[in-house]
Amino acid sequence: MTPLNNVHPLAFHETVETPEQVQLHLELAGLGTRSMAFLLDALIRYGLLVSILVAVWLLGVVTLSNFKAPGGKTLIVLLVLLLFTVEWVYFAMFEWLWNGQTPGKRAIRIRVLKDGGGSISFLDAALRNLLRPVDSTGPMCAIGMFFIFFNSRHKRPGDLVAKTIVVRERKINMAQILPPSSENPSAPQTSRFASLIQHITLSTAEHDMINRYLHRRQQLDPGARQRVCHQIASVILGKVRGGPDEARFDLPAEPDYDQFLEDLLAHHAGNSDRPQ
Amino acid sequence: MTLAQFVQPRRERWDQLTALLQRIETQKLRSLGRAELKRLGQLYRSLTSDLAQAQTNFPHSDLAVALNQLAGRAHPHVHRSRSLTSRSVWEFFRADLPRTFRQHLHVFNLAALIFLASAALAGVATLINENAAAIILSPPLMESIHRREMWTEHIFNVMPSSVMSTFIMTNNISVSFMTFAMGLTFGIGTCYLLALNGLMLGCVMALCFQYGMLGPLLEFVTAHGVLEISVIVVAGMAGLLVGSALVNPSDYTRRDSLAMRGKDGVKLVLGTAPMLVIAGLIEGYVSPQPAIPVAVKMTLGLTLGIVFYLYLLFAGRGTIKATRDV
Repeated sequence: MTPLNNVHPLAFHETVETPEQVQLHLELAGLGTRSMAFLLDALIRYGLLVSILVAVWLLGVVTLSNFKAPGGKTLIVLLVLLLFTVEWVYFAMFEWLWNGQTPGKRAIRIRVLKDGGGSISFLDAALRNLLRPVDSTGPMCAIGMFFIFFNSRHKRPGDLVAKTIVVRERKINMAQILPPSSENPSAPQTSRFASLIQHITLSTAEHDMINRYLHRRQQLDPGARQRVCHQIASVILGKVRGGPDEARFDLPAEPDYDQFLEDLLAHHAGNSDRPQ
Repeated sequence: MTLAQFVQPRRERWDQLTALLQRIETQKLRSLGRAELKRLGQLYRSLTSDLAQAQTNFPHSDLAVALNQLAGRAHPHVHRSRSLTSRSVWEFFRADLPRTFRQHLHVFNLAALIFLASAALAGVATLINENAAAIILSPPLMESIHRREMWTEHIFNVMPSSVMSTFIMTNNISVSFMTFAMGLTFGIGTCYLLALNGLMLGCVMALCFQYGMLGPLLEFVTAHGVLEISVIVVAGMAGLLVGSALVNPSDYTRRDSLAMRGKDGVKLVLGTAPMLVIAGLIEGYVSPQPAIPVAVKMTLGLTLGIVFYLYLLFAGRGTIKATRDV
């Protein structure tokens, strides 16, 4: 689960108009993420290859000049095919079968999509990966990195030819969007802040801010938690402070701001006839 | 409308969609039943309308971001490319591949010209001065020809046919893929690989001719060589196609031209790669076999070559059905 505030608001986004005519913002994967996935895949590909070679060598069954050993021919044929698979088949096969993902990409949570946001076909997967020798093999990686860094949509040459993009996938828990259950629940009507809360209207941004704080407060250390809570509460209170009705809000001298924010959000979640 | 009011009646649908996506991502789209598939479409459509509303009423809110994220996750599963079926593969080989070849026939001619011209150049140069071959060919190969021995005999005495075939076919397919990929260097890399292969062939032929070994050479090469060289030239054609999109995109932007010709290129390369498997098997099992008469080898090689070109030039003509992309 990723904290929501880590999501870039607009930067590095591909805006796609869906056939339903809704604008969809896809977050493009940058050089860092894609390099990580590439390195992971390299580790898997060559790790597998090297460990098999070492196993064969340790067992001492076959050397390149001894085909007479039982199963020797088959083993060498399989090794050659494995080498070919690691070089040419791995990426294309996984991206085709796993709908735009390789094991590395899946671990890093990125996916290859068509330019319009749809899934890639077999030919797309083959095309963008057959072009790897010119942009992501050995020293040629520099070319791919250069392109991913400077291209506005982070495309390496293979992506340009196949018309594909690589996007980040974040799984956001819906439960995070809604107000959390209160730590010490008290009905809004019986809240000590009831009279005050009724006079506060919240903007969406303020709602989100309080919501995020309430979700994350357990992870903050006590000092920081108190500081942040105080900051948020004073912003909200600042909206009514100095207004004509201030005297009527009997705010305690040392109020429990945590409780105040909880009650405030609970009030807004429950209250259905609040004007926008 | 408050956020909570907006969320409350819709939330269950979002959760349902999330659960369905979870299943698609871990299993496959195929694991869904008919009713569930229909439900996926409904849920996705209602989500996009929710998203549009959220973008208007609660712009830049966490909710809008989360709904956008969910829609982005669902989008590629709902808007899918056509998947590979046995029917689409058949249609590809029956008509699409040969049509693509004929559509770019002039590019094939250019690739063949580069290859043959290099071979002729190397042949003439070697006939004039034998040392010219030394630039291209490896010293052991040169010495073997000087001793009037076929170098292939030595290799095949050591390596079993199965191993040899596997080596040859994976190597040739790699060369074919590489020749295609090098098209992105404005075609320069493709020309280089085509020319290099031509030069090698020219040198070997001329040198063998001078040492009276042209007979044994042709006996070894013909059975697999015609097909093998043809496929490499087709790979060169695919590479030149990609290169031509960068050099001369004709009526399109370079970007669009690159995408279109790149797609045709990958069809040609992938479609002809299976021939290299056949050629590799012949080179491992038939070509080095002294027991098989020369006439059989020649007939086999020439027949395969003729069938290959007849297929590319004539298959899939006639009524054009709606072609499908694989």
